[in-house]
Amino acid sequence: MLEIRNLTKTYGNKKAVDQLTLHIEPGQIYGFIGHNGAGKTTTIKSCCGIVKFDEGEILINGISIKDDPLNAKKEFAYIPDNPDLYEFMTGIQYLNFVADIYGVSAQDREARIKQYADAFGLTQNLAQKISSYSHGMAQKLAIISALIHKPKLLIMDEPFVGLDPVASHAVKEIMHEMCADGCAIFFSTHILEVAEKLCDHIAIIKNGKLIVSGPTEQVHGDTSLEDVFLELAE
Amino acid sequence: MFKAIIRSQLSQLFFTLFGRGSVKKKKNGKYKKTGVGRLILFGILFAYLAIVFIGLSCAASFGAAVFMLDGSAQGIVNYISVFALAALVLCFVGSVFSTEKQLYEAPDNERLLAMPIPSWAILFSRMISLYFINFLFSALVLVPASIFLIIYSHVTAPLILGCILALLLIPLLSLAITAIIGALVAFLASKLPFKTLITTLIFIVFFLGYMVFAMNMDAVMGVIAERGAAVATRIFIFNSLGHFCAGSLLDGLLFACSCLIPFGLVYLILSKSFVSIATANRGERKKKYIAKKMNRGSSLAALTRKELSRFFSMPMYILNSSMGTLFQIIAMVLLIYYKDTLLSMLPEIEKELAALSISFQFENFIPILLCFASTICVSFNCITAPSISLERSRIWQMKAMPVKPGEVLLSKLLCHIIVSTPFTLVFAIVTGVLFALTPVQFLLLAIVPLLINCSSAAWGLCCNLWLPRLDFPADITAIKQSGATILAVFGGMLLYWFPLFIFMSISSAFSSTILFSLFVLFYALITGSIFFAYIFTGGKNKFANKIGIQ
Repeated sequence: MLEIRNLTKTYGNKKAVDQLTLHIEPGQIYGFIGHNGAGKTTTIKSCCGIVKFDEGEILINGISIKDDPLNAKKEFAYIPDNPDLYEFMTGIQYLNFVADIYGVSAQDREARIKQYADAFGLTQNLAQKISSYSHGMAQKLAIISALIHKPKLLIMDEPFVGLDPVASHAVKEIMHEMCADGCAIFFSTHILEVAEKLCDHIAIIKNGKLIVSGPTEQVHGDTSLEDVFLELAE
Repeated sequence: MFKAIIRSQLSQLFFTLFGRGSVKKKKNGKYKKTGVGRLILFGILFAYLAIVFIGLSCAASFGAAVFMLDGSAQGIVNYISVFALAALVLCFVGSVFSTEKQLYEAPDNERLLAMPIPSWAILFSRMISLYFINFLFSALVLVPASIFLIIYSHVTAPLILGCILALLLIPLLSLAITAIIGALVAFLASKLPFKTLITTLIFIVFFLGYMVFAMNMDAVMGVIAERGAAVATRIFIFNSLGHFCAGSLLDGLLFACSCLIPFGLVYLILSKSFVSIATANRGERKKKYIAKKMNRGSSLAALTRKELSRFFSMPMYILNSSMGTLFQIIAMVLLIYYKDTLLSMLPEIEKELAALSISFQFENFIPILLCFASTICVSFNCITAPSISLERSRIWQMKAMPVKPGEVLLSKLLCHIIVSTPFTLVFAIVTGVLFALTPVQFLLLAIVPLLINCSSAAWGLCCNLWLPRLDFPADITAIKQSGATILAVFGGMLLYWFPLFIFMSISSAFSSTILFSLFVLFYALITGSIFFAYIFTGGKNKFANKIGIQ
């Protein structure tokens, strides 16, 4: 579903990501963890086509993000850590905007907006301008907009930041449902407990290099993920 | 701590005016510094504006000095009173819109309030940068006025001191007034529905008032010359200043108090209520969401709706970028009221043009004039010029979504065209009926400005493609102060006004509406084709590569 091959990105003299290779299969929830400045966001943004990488290849469902960005972007949805949305639109206008971009039919978008807005408790706020939303509400809207076109791959950067417990639970439920349908999820997080419970695969990045990756249980073994992370971070 | 926040405010002001662009090119392992060309462009532009405005100010000061300064004390009182009033008015007009935003809606208010910084210090730092702007406006009027006062009067210490005090204290008085007006506008806007519409209307009223003043400048200056001194000297503050310059030290104290006390009171009230002002919820009234039937639209339609939504949500965007449309409306109203006056002037115009060996045909002059006016007005609109820069930190959405760069650019063009077209057509219909144009003349009056509108839209977008800065601190900065906007406006004048003026000066221009219209038509088609071709080839590639929407 998502294939990252020898990804390298340099900013000036610093290699933010160095020869990173990762393979995410359909049905997997892949957690991506690392210290601040490790290269998580750069990797994620490279996968989404937001950042142009220097070397390597990224394939989304077999489509190269570099060679055929338009078709590759139809396969996934991206949720950033800080959802800077079009605050001059109302919530419902924004969802319709995204649905139009992805070509979602009227019937499907009506059903999905109702389903996810109710799940996140955002229905009564859809007529308000996004400028009046709190961070958590904007995050919820960004998640709904990502799910509206039923992406095969969901890429998220710190998705649980700013979400209340009900919304966090809803996101986890949705993630499980998506994976059961054959989709894949790739997300970064600093909350190791969530990563340990939620993810079936983990990748740890340090200073731009992939330190360890694989099934979660294999990665943390008999210890906790936190212990593994702290040991590797030293 | 105090110095730190003042330094940050002034550096923000400096960065807004002169900061470098964020789009950099990697060349031979080093990042190519951009912005030098823009600095030069800004330098030329500022020099041009400074020469024009300082020239105007000097001319007005010289004229008034010769007329008013007759060696008497009353002459000095009258002179300095008038210019102090003018300085206050200019300070007010120049800063009233930005005061409200900077004092009450600064984005970093809450962050600063969370730090161990007293609210009076935060307010003071904001006032400093606003005072600087007011000071510049004040200096534009008072420095030339003071120079001519010194030249044409007997130089005394109170005279010099009075000029310095006026220069330093008039901005404070203006700041006090604009702070109160800004608070009123902010309060009204938060309580009333349709906030954007009301704010836009308030600004339009201010702008129309300014336009009426500017258009009746001669009459106003005449009144000022005759009665300005009487008016200004009736105002206690300026009368005191005038008498201080004439030698009365007590009046100097009164003038200083008249400026410092209002400012002090406003500052005291604002600093006491700064926390509640800064954290006031200016959000809209809650609207109930009612699920409606949804329709599927195209990607281009969605992008265009987004552009229109952004345009209509920002009063400053509407006012600054569709100034031409506003002029069209004003011109239309004026033509309705002054139609007979214009028609009665035609024999005189015919004589003047005949003296220049320009043959004139009555029945062609009006359509040409209308077409010319409408064309000039639409070329003033610069909605596309800041449209890429306005994406700012929201650009990630365009980058992550499956949107074609060409469609994104086309949506920005369509926004400009959709906003400008209705008023252009209304202008054509109203003036066409008013002046009983023939069907052919009416058609040309409708089509020619529309084509110039399209060309001008493309020109604005080209400017933003050449200068695609995305790191402006606020949307309003991108709209008012971006290099792209400035290039679009002034470059647009050269592109669209200059050729029209040249053509108009050719004698045969007035012999045929068809000839004039054909010239403008072909000019619009040629320029439009060049700009559109660039946008959808090199421009699109630049948009994709530099900005990253692929």
